Amino acid sequence: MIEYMDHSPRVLNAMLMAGSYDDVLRSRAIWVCTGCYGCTVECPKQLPVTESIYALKRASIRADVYPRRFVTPVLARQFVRLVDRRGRSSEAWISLSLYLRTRPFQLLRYAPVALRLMRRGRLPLRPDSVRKPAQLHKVLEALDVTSGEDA
Amino acid sequence: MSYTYYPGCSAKGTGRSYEESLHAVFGALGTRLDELKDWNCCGASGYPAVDAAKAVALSARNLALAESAQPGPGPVDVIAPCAGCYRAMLKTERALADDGAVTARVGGALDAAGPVQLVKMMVWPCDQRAGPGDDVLPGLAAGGPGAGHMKHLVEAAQHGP
Repeated sequence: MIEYMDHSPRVLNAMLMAGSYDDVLRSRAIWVCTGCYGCTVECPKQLPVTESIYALKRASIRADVYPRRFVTPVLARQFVRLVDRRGRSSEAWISLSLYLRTRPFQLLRYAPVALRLMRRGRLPLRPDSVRKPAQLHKVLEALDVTSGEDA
Repeated sequence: MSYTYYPGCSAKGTGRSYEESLHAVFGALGTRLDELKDWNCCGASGYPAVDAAKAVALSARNLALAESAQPGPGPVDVIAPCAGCYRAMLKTERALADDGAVTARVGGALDAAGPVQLVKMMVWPCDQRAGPGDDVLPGLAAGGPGAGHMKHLVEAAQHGP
């Protein structure tokens, strides 16, 4: 993953200790992390690396400084909006809204793959939903009120 | 023998082949998979990047549904074949077991919304115990990132006909 990051996790940590908090929040590096927990599993000091990066991602969104044209923060926000509304995700709609917002011309490139997936019934267009989204909305809203900072 | 089965969004979409082969394998093992009714998205890797407490609540709702669907007491075995869903459930289970403040907030939110309730917190999303199956599928059962979610398959193999 490091080769895709503008700063390695080690450098991010050094930047934080040096007080460059804002640069860390604006970095693409934290958004390259897929959250696989590989580093947390491997860390000989049992450092919560993945959880720390998640906290930085949340801080980056809260401070509204996340990289606008980068795929993953946009993906995360679109994904959350869809899950909040319907309780389930839809790969077709997530991909569509993601590419429209970040790289609209790539849609043409991926259209043949999407069509093949659809033909096999692997990319349903009708978004799925929980039975009573209102019940889930209440759960999530109850956490809205008290949502403090967790970083 | 049956398990509560949590498919997750991908198994109903691009991961459909995985779900189909899973049902075929469990069928051959004589084990029934009962799909959790009214399950919601686990939050995957995206939700915790936006809101940590709500990400826990998503899987907590699924675990609560699994508990209320179970007839008797005792831990609920939920099978989550997707690595992302498994991870979200395991994270939630740990957060609820380790952090009283999170449990109170998430439990309160679920209670307020009703009718789903968190009955108790000790839910095993899948089997964490090592068993004789480990030498059947050593590579899968050995652990390491991403391998954990295969352990329930090992256990299912032990309990098969």
